[in-house]
Amino acid sequence: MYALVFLALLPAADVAPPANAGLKPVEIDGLSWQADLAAALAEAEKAKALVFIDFTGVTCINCKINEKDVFSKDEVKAAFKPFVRVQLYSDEIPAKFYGKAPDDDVREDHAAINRRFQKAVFKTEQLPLYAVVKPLGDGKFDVVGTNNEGKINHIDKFIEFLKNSK
Amino acid sequence: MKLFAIALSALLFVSSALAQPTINEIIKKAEATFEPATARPGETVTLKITVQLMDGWHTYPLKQEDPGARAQSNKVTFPAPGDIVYVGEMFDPPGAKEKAEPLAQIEKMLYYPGGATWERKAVVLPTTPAGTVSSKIKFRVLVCDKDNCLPPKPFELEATLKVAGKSVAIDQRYQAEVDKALQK
Repeated sequence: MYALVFLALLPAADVAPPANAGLKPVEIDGLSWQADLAAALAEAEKAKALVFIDFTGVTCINCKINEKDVFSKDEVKAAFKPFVRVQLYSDEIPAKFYGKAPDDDVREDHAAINRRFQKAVFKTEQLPLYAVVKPLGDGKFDVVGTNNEGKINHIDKFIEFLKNSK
Repeated sequence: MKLFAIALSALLFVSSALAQPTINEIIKKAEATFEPATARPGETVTLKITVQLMDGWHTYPLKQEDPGARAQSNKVTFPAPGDIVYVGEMFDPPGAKEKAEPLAQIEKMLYYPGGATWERKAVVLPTTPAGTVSSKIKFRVLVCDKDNCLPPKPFELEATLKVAGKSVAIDQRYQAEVDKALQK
């Protein structure tokens, strides 16, 4: 079922964002994506921007479909632009985010940090899950909104979710 | 009062919107058993790994034919040979459904709605004393429904076997494989 949730009235999340030092941003369809939420929050704080979180997985087929088919559309890319974007893989962090990729086991351990974070803050391990957070400094943040539609069947609503996240 | 009602409605909406079944609710059963449950030393038995899922969810084979779908796979890891030596391959069960996912460049993705049972042959070594032996198999299960997936869940499944009776010769089809496994 499609659902948009805005949580602006909730208190700041009391969970430290995952910091996977050594992960580097990658460019996908002309947009830069971080893989380290702590770095993304710091970048967003400087830019006075919000952070868009893509909870995703290499084993998640619906995540891939959204990322390849929806995120690549011009209107979605335009809606993404105001955000600092971060992909938090919760099963295994792809090698492309590392300068020198460690073994699968290490990349799975790094992803487990993201998985625990997602569960602690959003109470679900569902993939995909999309969230917008506002940096408050010192790694703290407010959850502005989440979108748990999963496979995106309504692109217009997804864009609306991004545009309404302020 | 009105404000309180609005706040309560919002809270209920948030709770219901994010309420998804947990992985433990989705995976109703993940178990490993030997058939038959009692065997003589030297006999060949069948390990069965069964995964049962909540309606609307599916899991995947150990091996996808389409390289593009390789990530949509379960994974099994067997223990080193002990009293029980696994032989032959663990094949994916027949009856998988097929689906094309052109948006993810997948021509043919195999999946099992509701779950599946995987089988592999195992030889009880002729030297195994009478009693109960067990084997711990690691099985990583990936589940999705039409819109969502969950991160793969690792299980350590323990199958137990009662060993009793007089020792018999190992099935010739598996003798070489058992010898090789024991040399490692």
